Amino acid sequence: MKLELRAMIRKEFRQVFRDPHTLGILLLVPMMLLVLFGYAISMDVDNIVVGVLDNDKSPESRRITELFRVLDAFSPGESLLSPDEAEEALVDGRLNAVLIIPPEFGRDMEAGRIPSVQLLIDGSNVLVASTTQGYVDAMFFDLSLRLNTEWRVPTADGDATFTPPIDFRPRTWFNPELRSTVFLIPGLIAFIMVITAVLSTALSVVREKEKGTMEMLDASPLSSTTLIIGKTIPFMVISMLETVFILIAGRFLFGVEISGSISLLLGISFLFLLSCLGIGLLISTVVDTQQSAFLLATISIVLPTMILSGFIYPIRNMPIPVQAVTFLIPARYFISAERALMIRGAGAVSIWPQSVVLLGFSIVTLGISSLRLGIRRRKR
Amino acid sequence: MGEHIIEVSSLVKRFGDFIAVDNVSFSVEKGSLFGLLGANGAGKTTLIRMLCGLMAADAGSVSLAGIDVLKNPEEVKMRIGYMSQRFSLYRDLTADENLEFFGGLYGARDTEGAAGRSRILDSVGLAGMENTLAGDLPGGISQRLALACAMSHNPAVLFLDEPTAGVDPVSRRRFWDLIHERAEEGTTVLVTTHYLDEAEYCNDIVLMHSGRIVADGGPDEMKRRIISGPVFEISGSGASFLESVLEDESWVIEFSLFGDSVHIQTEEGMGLIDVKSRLLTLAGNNQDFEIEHITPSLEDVFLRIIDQSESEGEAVI
Repeated sequence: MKLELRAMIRKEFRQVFRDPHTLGILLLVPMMLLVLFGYAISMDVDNIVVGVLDNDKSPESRRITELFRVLDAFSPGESLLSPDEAEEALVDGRLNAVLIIPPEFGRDMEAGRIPSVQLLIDGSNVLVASTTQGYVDAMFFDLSLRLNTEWRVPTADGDATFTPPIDFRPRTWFNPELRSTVFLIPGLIAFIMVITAVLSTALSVVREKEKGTMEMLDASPLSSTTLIIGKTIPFMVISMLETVFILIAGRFLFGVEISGSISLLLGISFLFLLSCLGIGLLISTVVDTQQSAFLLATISIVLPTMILSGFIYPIRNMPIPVQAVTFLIPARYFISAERALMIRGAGAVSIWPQSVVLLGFSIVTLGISSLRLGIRRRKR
Repeated sequence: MGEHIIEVSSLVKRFGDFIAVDNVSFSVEKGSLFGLLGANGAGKTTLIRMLCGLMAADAGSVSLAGIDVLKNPEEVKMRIGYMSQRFSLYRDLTADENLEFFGGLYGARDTEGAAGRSRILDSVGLAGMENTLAGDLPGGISQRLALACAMSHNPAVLFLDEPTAGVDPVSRRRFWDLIHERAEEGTTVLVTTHYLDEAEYCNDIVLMHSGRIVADGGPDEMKRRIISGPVFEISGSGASFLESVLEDESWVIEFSLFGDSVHIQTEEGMGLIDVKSRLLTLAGNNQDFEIEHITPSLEDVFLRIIDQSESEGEAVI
């Protein structure tokens, strides 16, 4: 290896491990995010609290009440005594939903009339509301089915006919329990890489400008290409190690297994990191202070990665112009490739488009940074 | 006259309408200690950065060891050492690590091993401080470390931009001793400063004012050329009154204020007694002053030159 490149890399590593800020970005931020997204932010909806206003108090109505007690998704809610109380509980937010059983429920059932119940749902949290409705729907569908077979209601002409409904059996592949950690971990890896790779690279170059050491590098025979390689390699190594760390944590803390090829996963991670480092360098050629580098990186890359990459919010639900913007975000390609590899166990064939795009991003960002650094040196 | 290692001709640098370096030409003899003098904002740093290939020029040419610096700035970088105004080191690296890094940048063999580095650090008086962070070193010492870093690869020319700014007098003295040693070993040293006493150490100096060179030559030669008559220093409480009446005296060629005292240059051949009696007559009730015959300093020379160049709008030489 060339002496100046070796000197550069050694120096970068020394500085990373000596600077509390860089070390904080590289170590604490990923750990914090991992814990946050892994434990605190779960998009699985459980513990739905449903109250029951049983105006009937028949054995049939009690059977329904009992169901809420035994199903996992629900927490046993209170028994309500009046419609006013039900309304109050919903307004207070103590209950997510209230099931109202009318006084004639048991009688209607006995008489062969179609019994009815009402469900009032708190719609202030859309995710919880729609999940609640889904669970309760499924519960009643199941209940009706069983009641039908038990009761065999005779029709007007005397025959006890019964048309069995279609036996519908949904089965979810790849993530059978629909756990959100399985869905979030790939995005989280991308997000952490963006923060560490883009931010730490941008800050480390801008710090040289701020402290005046860039001038010393400019005065030395160090070429701008060597400078860029020297700045890239240490952060590449650290970020790759971090990726492996998150994968291991994902496996052992959250049970997220990698169903596809690990080497393909590391390969695409490398390409993604390369584009992140390119973006970081590009930012550092635009601004002169660490503060503005931080701000620019946050606004142009970190936030868009959080919101527009498909990490949390599905891209297909976004308005068309916003969807167009998502094509400019490298994490979009990486996350989709990661999900394919990690969750669906896809092979190389299904991730080559993403690989090509990421390679393109890397070449463009690193190329422009190198050119801009060279130009800056000559024209001041 | 020895060989010229640096040749600068008609160099111009503009920043918008402001002309930072205005048609500057000079040459530096190989192995000499060359001083670039001037007040802050005179254009010294801009000039030195163009000589180092750190900045493009708008016109003119710079040749260093036969290389056209403005056309091939990269080629020249291996042959020069540069110490910037802020003597920029990595404050979060130790003295030894800084030297190792800068040596590595230039592919210097001397700094590859710990023993070589420790010898270099010893030579600039940093023995025992190898593992101190550069940020924790006192100003004078970190300045010597910056010097060691700038010359680890034995450059032909060493550029030092305001190397002694903000450093205590003892450290300044020590630093100049080190620079002298380098110059004696054959390294050409080009140094900028606004401390005029330091300029006395140089073999050759140029004085810059508002982007132009207003004087050049050796320190002593310049004194002889610019200050023809004897110089006297008047001090004491009567000095300020005298200053106010000297203007009309034809035998006073030049006078200028130096703190509480006044320096006057008189017509040639005038002695101390003669001058004193004339002053006593002028002073009236303000007899409380002392007068002394002094050797003119470079400060006298430069104040004189800048005065003239401002009134004439032209270079003096």
